[in-house]
Amino acid sequence: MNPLARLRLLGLIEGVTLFTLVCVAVPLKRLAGVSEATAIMGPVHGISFVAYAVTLVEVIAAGQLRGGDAWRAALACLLPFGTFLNDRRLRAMLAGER
Amino acid sequence: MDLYSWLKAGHVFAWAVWMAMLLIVPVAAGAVVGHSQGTTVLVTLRRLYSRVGTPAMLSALALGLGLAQLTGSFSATWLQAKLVLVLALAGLHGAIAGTLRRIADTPSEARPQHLSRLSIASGLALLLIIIFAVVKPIQ
Repeated sequence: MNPLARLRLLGLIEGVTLFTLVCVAVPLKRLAGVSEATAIMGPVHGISFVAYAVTLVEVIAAGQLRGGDAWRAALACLLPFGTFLNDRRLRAMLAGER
Repeated sequence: MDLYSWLKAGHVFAWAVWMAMLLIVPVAAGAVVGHSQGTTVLVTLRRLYSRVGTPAMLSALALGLGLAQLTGSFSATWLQAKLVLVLALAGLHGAIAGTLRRIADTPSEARPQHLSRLSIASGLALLLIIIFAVVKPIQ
């Protein structure tokens, strides 16, 4: 798989796991006392975040993302749900590669 | 046998495979740059790195997180220091993967010394991680 396409996929996974953690697991823990949800989703989100970050470094080192696009992709994983916002840009870049 | 021992065995195995990829592949790739069959070998090394090294890295991280959660040691200073170094090592993994791709795609622009530097940095990070995990100099 093209690293840029992998970055896009991992960005979506990172966003979905964060959404599940914040909007499902944390309320379950706080309101219903079910701590298992955060115990599972916390590490799952952590791993998906690291996978996104590692792929981002790979894409930058391979020269597929430069300058503003690289900074934008890096900021996207630090801001809540930022990877969803950056997805359109990555999709356009992939379409341009084809 | 208990869950802890199985997780630890898996973590050490995944870690060993990841380190083998991280330390050997960049050196091997640097050695074949410029040779007549170099491009074919580089593509094979790049595939080996991404198909074996990356899953090994993610498995080592996942099993390590499982171990830390099982033992409740996230608050230990030595583990927090180790985690920072592991994240740096994961970043080096990405940098090596990208450099291998760039070298395999455009061998004329290859700079083998860059791969050697990344490999040496990985070795140093590995040494520090082992010290934090085994010696635990800060509790």
